[in-house]
Amino acid sequence: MKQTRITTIISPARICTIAGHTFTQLVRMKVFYFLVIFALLLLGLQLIDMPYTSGAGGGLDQNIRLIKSAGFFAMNTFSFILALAATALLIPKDVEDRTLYTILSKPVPRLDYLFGKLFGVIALLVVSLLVMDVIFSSIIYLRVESVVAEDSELLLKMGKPQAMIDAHVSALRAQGVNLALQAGVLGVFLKALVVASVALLISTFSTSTIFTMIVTVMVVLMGLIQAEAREYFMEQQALGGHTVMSEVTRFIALLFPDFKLLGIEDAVIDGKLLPAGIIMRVSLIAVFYSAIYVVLSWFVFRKKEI
Amino acid sequence: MRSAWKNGIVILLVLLVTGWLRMPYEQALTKEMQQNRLLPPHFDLQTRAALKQKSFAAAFGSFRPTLAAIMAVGATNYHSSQQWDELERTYEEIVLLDPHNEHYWNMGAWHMAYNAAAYYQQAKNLPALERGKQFRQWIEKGDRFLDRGIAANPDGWLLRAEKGRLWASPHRIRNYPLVNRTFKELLTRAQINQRQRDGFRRELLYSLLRTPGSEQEAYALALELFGEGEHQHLPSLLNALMVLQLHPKVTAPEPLGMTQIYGDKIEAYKHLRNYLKAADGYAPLYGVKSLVLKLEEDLQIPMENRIGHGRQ
Repeated sequence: MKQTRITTIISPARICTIAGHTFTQLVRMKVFYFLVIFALLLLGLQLIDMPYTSGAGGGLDQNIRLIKSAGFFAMNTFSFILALAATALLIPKDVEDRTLYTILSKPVPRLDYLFGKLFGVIALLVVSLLVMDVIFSSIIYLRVESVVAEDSELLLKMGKPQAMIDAHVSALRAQGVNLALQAGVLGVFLKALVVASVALLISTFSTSTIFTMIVTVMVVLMGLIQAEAREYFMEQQALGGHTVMSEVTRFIALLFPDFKLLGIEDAVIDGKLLPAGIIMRVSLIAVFYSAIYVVLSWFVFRKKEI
Repeated sequence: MRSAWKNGIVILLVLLVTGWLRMPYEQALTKEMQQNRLLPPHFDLQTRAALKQKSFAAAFGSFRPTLAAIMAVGATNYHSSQQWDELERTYEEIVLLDPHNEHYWNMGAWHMAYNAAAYYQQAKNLPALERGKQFRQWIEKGDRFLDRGIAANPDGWLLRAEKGRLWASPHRIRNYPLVNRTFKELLTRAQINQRQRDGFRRELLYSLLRTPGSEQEAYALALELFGEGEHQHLPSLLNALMVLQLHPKVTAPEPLGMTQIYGDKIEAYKHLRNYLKAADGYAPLYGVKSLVLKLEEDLQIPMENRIGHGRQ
């Protein structure tokens, strides 16, 4: 008797298995070595003292700002490289290793395969960002606490009232490790998520890894000027002007994701508190971008001849 | 091949439609975040041109403050070598990269209004007229830099305070009416704590004290501060209150006695004598000398230690 096997379109178990395999595959590529560079970079920044910032606590703001800024930049760079390289390599590598044929010859829907691959990359990004966050937060914490100890002693010797010292200490600690800092790390993750999704889409129709990487980098670069293009287009539209430039900017605004909007870590570097509503809305838009690219990836990949 | 074209068209259409749907949302969120200064401002074409190749690197949001910090460290060389035009140009770039960091606006203004101005004031190779012109020009450059910094950081106190201090500085060009306006703006617009508020109100008082025509306002503020308690009873404030009570243009309905203000005559003598010695040509002196002389008599200060004596 012939058995009919019903395959559900999305199976969390299958997705988890593929994601786990993808994660292991990526870890075996020794991608975590970059964490050593990250730690060394942050330790090196500890030695930099910004000019003209002497005095009790005076320099901390600028020095912490530098550590935060360079730390977030390094996080952005490493997570971008990871998201791009890992995603761009995945499908070609599975084809090369013939793993793809083994998987797809089984009752595994292609959407599950794509989700599994993407979640494997996301798991890698989450783990590496968590490790970077621990290193980053520890260095900021140590720096702030050393200044707190030095300043408290100095102000006490100067005979300043305890209330003033306490206020100074809490102002110093406000620049240290807090929820806003973690929100900044979330911003880095959201950007990497969108980069991985874009790379996934491109890799579904790309013929080479290099092509995928180049096109993804171009999408990211366009995404960095998307906000300016959109603003220009909207201004022109409000003025009733239709020029070639306004049409070009319209297409840039419509086609590309806004990467600047996802850069919530900039506010964290400035020492601002990010409202939860803003974090939610920015996260929502990143998930929206990612969902669109995954759906389109599936659309291209669903009937692709392999 | 047909399938590839079909896929391409579908992708394009989906991206256009979803782009059209998300555009108003993205724009509204960007505006809201920019208004709350949670996103850096966009670079316009002029700014991009000013930053040259750095604008590309600076497009990566979190790299902007790092690049600004690297440039600020590099700018110290221009300070050491007294290349003021280069220093000014570098700070113009720095504040484009990191406009919400008041420190850079303050540093740029300090270099211009204090270091460069002092350099030209003492430049022996320049004619006296040119020295004076350059001195004034660099102070004004520093002031304009502060004004732009204040516009970029309207809630901040640092730049307003520095602007006030610049025009109150005895080593620059004093403009007490401008100092008064600046500190009044600071007290109404900037986000400051009570300790800072107390300090800036005192700075406003010292400026009002030196502004002809503002004596009554200065007196009201001095009395208000004095009434707030011991923490405000700094020698300068006590002197200001005493001196303003002596001023002919001040109407003091219930003037405080010397011991009410200073505690005793010895303290009054010590502080008023210091006030006289530090006279800067702007602080009012009506009746102060007579009062000090009377105190010297009352306290039987030895002749050699008295005001007007050679050894004072």
